[in-house]
Amino acid sequence: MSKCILVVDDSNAIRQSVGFILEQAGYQIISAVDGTDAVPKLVSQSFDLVLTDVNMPNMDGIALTKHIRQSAQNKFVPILMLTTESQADMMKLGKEAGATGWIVKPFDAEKLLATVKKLIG
Amino acid sequence: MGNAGFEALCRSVIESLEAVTLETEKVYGAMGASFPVMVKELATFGRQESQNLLALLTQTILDEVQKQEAASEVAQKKTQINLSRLEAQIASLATLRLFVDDIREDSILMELLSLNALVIASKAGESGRAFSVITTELQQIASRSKDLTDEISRREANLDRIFGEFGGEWKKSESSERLLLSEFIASIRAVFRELKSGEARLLEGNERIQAKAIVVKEPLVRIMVEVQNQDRIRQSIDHVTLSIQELRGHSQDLSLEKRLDDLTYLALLPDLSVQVLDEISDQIGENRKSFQNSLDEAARLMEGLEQERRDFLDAHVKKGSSHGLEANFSEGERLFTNYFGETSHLLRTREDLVRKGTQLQKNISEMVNTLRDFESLSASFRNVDLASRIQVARHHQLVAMRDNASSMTNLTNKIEHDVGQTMKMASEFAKAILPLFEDFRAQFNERFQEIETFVTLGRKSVADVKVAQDQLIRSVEGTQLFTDKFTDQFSSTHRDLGNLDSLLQTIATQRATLGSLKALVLEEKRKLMAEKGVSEWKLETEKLKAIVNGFTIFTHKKFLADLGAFEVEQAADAGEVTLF
Repeated sequence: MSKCILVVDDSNAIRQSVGFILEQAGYQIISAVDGTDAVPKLVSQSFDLVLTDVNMPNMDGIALTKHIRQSAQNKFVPILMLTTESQADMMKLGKEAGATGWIVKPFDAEKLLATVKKLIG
Repeated sequence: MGNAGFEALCRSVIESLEAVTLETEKVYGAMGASFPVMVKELATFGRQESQNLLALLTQTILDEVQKQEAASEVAQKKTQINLSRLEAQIASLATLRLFVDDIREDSILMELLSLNALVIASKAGESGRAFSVITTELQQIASRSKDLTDEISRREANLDRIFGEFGGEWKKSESSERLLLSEFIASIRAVFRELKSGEARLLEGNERIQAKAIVVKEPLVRIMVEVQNQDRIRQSIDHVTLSIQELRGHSQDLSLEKRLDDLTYLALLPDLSVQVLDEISDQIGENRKSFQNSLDEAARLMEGLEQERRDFLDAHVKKGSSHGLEANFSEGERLFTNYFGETSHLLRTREDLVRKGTQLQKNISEMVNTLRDFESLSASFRNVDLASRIQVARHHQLVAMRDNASSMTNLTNKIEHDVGQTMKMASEFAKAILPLFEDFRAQFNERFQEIETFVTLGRKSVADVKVAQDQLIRSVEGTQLFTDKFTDQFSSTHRDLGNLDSLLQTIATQRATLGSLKALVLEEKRKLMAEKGVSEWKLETEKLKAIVNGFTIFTHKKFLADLGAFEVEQAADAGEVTLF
C-alpha cells in the first residue's frame, strides 16, 4: 500500500505541483489549503508525512506543526516545511515547533523526492 | 497632488495587481490541472488487449491441413493394398492366357487330325462316308475353337492393357495428389507462419510505438514542476500590494516632520514594487519560454511518434508492401485456390477411372460369357470323338483311323480339361476383381468426401482469416497514439500561454504607474523640505524593518534593507533542504 502524504499550502499551484510530483513517485496525496483545513484531516486518518507551507491564512505552518506534535494521532509523523521563508530565525522557529526539515521554495523536484524518500521510503 | 487622486491611483495599481494574481492563478492553475490528466492519459491509452486472432485462425487451418496430410497417407496405404490386389489379378490373367494358348494349339492339332481323317475316310469309300461327315464337323468345330481362342486372347490382352492403365493412372493420380498436397502444405505453412509473424510484428510494433509515447511525459513533468512558480509570483505581488497599502496610509494631518518621514519612506516603496514587478515579469517570461520549449518538445516528440507509426503501418499493413499482411494473405488465398483447383482436377481424373472400372467390369463379364462358348465347343468335341470311335469300331476299312481316333480322344480330353480350368480361373478372376473395383470406388468416394470437407472448411477459414485480418488492420490503424482528450488538453495548454503574454503587458503598465506614484511622492517631499528649509531628510529605518518582516521572499527583504541601509540575515538558497 502506498504511503500517504498530507500536503498543506494555500497556493493551489504548490498543491498541484507537489501533489503531481509525489503522486508520480507512487505516494498517495491528501491536500489541505491551510492549517485549519488540515487539522480535521489529521484526525480522520494517519499520514506517513506532512508537507506544509509556513505562511498561510487561518492557521500557519508553525502553529500546525505545534498542533500535530501535541496531538495523540500523528504525533511522531515527519513534518517538512516547504516555504519561501529562507532565513535562519524562521527555520529555528520551525525546528522548535517540531518540524523534521525545511525546504526553501521554489523546490527542486529531485531534492524534494530524495528527502521524502529518505524520511518515509 | 490631492489625497483623493493619490488614493485612487494606489487603488488602481492594487486592483490591477490583484487581477494579475488572479490571472496567473487561473493560467498556472489550468496548467496544473490539465497536465496530470495528460500524463495519466499517456499512461493508459492505447493499451489494447492483443487478440492474436490471425494466429489462432491460421493455426486452425494448419491443423486441418495436418489432418489432410494424415488422411492422404491413409488413402495412399489403401491404394497400395488395392493396387497390389489388382496386380495379383493381372498376373492371374497370364495363367489364363497359357490355358487359352493350349486350347488354341490343341484346336489346331484337332484341325490337322480332321484333315487326316478326311483323307482316310475318302479312301474307305462307302464305309467312310459317315466318318467323312464327322471329320468335316470336327474340322469346323476345331476352326471355331481356334477363332474363339483368338477372340479370348484379344479380350484378355485388352483387359490386361486396360488393367495396367487403370492401375498406373490411379497410382499417378494419387502421387500427383500427394505431391500437390505436400507442396501446398509446405507453401501454406510458410505463408501462414509469415502471416502469424506479420500479425505479431504488427501488434508488437504498434505497442512498442505506443509505449514510446511516454517520452512525451518528460516535458510535461517539467512544466508541472514550474507551475509552483505561481506561488512566488503571488507572494511577490502581495509584497507590492503591501507596500502600496503603506502609501495609502500617508496622512496630510501629521506634523511637517512626521509627514517628511512618511514621504521619505514612501518614496522608496515604488522602487521596491518596480523591482518586484520586474522579478515577476522575469519569472513569467522565463516560465512562458520554458513552457513553450517544453510544449514544443512534446509536440515534436508527438509528431515524431505519429510519423514513426505512419511509416510502420505503411510498411506492415498497406497493399504492395513486402512485409504487408495483405500480401501474405493474398499469397495464402492464391495457394488455396490453386490447391482446390488442381485437387478438383485430380479428383475428376480419378472419377473417370472409377467409371472406367465400371466398363472393365462389363469387359470381364463379356469375356466370361465368351468362355462359356468354349463349354459348348468342348461338348461338341466330345460328341464328334464318340461318333468317330463308333465309326472306327464299326468299319474295318477305317482301321487306319485308330491312332487318329485315339489322338482325337486325348485332345478332346485335354481341351475339355483346359476349358474347365479356364472357366474356373475366369470365374475366380471375375469374383475377385469385381469387389476390388468396388473398393476403388469406395476409396474414391471416401477421399472425395474428405477433400470436399477440407475445401469447404478451407474456404470458410480463408474467409475468416480475411475478416480477422481486416479487423486487425482497422484496429491497428484506428488506434490513436494520443487520445482526443490528450490532444484537446494539449491544445488548450498552448492557448494558456497566450494569456501569460497579456499578463506581462498588464505588469508593464502597472510598472509605469508606479513611476508616476514615486514622482508624486518626491514632488510632495520637495515641497515640504522647502517649507521646512532643508535640502535633505533622512529615512526612518524602523518603519522599513517592520515592512521587511512582512516579506516572505529574501531578495525583496534584501532590496528594501539595502534602501534603508540596514542588514538582513543571510538566507538559505531556493530549493535547499535542511533536515533538523
